[in-house]
Amino acid sequence: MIEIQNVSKKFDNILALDHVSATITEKHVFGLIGTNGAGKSTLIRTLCGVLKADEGRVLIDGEDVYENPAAKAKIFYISDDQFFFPNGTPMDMVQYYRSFYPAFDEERFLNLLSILSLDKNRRINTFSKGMKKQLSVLLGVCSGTKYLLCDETFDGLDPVIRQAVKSLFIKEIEEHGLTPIIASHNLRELEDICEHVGLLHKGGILFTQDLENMKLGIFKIQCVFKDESSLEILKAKFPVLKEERRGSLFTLTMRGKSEELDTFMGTLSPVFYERLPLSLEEIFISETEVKGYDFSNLYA
Amino acid sequence: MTSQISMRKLIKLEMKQSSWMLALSALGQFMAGPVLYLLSINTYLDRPERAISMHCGFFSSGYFMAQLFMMILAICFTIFSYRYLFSKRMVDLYHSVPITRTKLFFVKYIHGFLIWFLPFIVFGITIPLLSFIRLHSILTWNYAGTILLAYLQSALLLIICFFIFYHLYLVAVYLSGNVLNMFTNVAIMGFTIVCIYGLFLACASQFLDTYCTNAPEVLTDLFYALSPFTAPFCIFSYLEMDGLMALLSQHPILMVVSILLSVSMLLLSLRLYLKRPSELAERGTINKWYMLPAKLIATFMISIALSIFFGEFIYGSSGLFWGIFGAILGGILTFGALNSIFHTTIKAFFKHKIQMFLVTLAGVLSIMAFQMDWFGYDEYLPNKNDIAGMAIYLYRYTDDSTSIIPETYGFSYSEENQRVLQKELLTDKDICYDFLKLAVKSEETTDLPYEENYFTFYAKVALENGRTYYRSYKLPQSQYLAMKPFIETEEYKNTNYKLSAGLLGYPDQMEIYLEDAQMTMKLTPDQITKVMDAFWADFEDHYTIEELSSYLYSINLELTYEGGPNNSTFYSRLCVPDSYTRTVEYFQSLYSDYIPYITSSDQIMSLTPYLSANTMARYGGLYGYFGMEGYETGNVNSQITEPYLEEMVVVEDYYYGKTYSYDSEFVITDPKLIDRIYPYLYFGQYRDFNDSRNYIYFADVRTVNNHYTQCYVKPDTLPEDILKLLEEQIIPETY
Repeated sequence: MIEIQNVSKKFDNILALDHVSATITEKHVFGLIGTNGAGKSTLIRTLCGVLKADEGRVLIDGEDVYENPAAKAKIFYISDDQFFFPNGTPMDMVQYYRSFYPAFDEERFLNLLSILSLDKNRRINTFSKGMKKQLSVLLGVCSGTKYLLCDETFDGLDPVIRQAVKSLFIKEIEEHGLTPIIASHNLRELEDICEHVGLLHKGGILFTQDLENMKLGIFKIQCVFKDESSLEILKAKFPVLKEERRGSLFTLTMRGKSEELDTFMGTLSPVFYERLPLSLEEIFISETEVKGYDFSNLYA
Repeated sequence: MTSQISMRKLIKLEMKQSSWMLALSALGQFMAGPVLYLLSINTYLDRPERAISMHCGFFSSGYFMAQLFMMILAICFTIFSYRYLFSKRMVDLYHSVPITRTKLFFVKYIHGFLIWFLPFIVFGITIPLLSFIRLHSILTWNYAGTILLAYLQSALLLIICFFIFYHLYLVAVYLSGNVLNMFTNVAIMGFTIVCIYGLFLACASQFLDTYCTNAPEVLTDLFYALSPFTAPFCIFSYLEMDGLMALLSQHPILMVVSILLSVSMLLLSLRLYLKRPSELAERGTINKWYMLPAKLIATFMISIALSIFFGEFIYGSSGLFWGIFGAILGGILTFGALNSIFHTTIKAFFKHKIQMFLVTLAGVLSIMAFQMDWFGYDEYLPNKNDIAGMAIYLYRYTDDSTSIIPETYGFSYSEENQRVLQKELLTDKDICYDFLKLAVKSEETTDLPYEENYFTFYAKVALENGRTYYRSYKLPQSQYLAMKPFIETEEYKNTNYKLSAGLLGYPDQMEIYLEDAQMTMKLTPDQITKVMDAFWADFEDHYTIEELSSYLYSINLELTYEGGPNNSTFYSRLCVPDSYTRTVEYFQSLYSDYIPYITSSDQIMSLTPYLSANTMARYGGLYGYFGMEGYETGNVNSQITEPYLEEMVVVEDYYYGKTYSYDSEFVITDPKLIDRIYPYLYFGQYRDFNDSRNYIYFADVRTVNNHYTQCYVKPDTLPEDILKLLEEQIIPETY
């Protein structure tokens, strides 16, 4: 378990992390979401012991991570712009990481490398950005660590590889108990893989929550009423987070209990009524608005 | 888990990744080792003593110096392996892996050391082996041991020097967020202390009167040792001059402080690394404890340096103005540049304006205090009754080649009994006071005629209250006789003069260089004894300030004294004046064609008169003029020369651009004309012409034995017809 306890980090006069606290449980994919400059990378770099927190503590399985090789040995960090040795090949990187991570599974690495059609002896500086990302992930997955910290890792991967990596993560979670922590500003990349999410904004964490629980309190419907007064009744009963209208078809994102809504809609006798799946983005917009942050201008 | 990470394995990995560094370092060591050795020592290999001496000398001179540069080069390569600290991507990689910074520090440290050390030791040990092969025909165990020991001594000192350089770089690396900052910090930390001391020395020689009473050599060693970039070069110079034992015994401060500083820098660099925030990568320098003093000291130093540059090289009454301008310019530029470098943005140039203002003001005030003599230093003249005595040290009599005698290093006395100034003391208050008055007046005078030469000397003045002060003065050459009471004493003759002239009795070897004949003779031991007997006899008869100041030397003696301290050999050079008749006669007995001076007109075969500004410059003060002291302009040109030469002369390139000289092709061979001119020729000392306007003509004289000498002619003395003839023949049309 990773515990982030009241962590603050300042760069000169810029407060990058402002008393951030969160707990990341094992064997789940944790998504760290935030806008650019929210402090995701700073938090990730603090989690892996690159940065020292000005205040607070970061505990990996109960141990401070900074300058603690025992704690660091449980973490593999994939940065958003991973460094590879100049003129180095994937095997050179394996050799390097193997020195620090004795559990590094070279055989598996080579196997996965061939599945992704990456040449083990090709110079990495001839790889494309996406190929470098894939290599980073493979190195991380094969390092045998308990936690994998990924900073914008899915950025630059094509959809097929993205799915392959997600599958890999899931398999690792099941087989080896891996806990990936993925920082991204792109909600869509995380919604089908993350089980827990944390939202960072302006250096502070707004919330961390189980994704399914979050979905329970919000719903999205499409409906057509004979009389618009029914719509007003509905809106009075359930707080509307978002409303769209296309002719007589209304699309509403609302807060409330799902069963209660179904019962209430029965009383209103709509011409058409359908429940729609919620995207993570929609959940976040609504949640952040609840917390008092208005991103409407940003998304407009 | 992490305990399994082997340091050896990590170093091996580092070495593998930086094989190119090792290759380049090895190439450099190969060139600075075996190749340099083979190029440097390729003679006298059949003469055992000479060959061994050359080999031992090689390790403490050429090889050592080359190695100092090689280690700087190797460290520059090594810095590549620290570049991860300057890159966010790399620092993420290195600091996220499970290894402590302490361990990473030592992995990098040992790796950097090996990059230099492996080639150094491999190619270094090759040299004694090569020497054994080359000297196999004369080699004995004793010789082999001597060579090997010389190498090992040199290698040990070089390792110390490497650590001094290396640890300096490490401190700079861990303080800095990018390469520019690193090199800036190396420069600041590497040179600042010695620059401060340099400034102090410059002031001491001019302004600090009691400086030389306080064992300055120790201070010098201390300041060199505290300047990590200069300490190795200082060790080298002492090693080359005096040898290892002298280095260790006479300069323990230098060695001990250098080693202590090196160790301190290593510990400091480790601490800096442990405290170093990873986010420093790609930024400048953020250590507040370092930045402020570094900026203030460097700014003050450069402010003063630029002030001196502008003030000294721009003459006349505007010198002070330009000095202040230089101080302000240096202050603002340096402080602003360091701001920009440390904060990695030009926008920070005027950051901390108050600090910038204060340090610049300090520079300006310092310059003004010295230039305007706010403390009355230049004009200081004690009351006559307060003077207890006085001594002078006149290094004018010291030849540059007398490099071993401590006296030749100004105030670098190493032995109490060599402190000539301490022993010599003229206690006549009137003479001392008058002399000091003259010296102070000379210091105050700014508008000195350019044609005069100067004696520069140090004076020790003892006061009745027990205080003693030392000061540097200069006197116009024309007033040299004012020093007569100080020079012409038995004590001065037997101590100061002999020491400063490098006369240590009877030399082991002697060569005579006959300037007129352009030839060199090597003397036998018996001849050496006879020459020196004659010389010492002449010396007793002719020890006067006039004789000592004579420029008319026709015989140069190259003296070699062997068996000095640490088996050193001391070389000296002595010029014998023509007036030393016994010595000259003995030379004539060795070399019968030698004519020391012209005694009669029939010895003259020809005269070639000419006008020469160069000659005037050399003898009349223009040469000193190139030193640019006290004159409004820095050019020797026709406008300046013209009033003193009656006509303009031919142009030729000479040192500083164009000066004016004319070598006449008019050769007088007519014995009758020579006889007529002869009474007006002067073969004596040029000192008699202390005002160059008194002499115009200068003539090369070819003697009966086909040698050449020179004479002078005063224009006013020549009869009209001869003067007219000479002018018609030797003065060309004005250009």
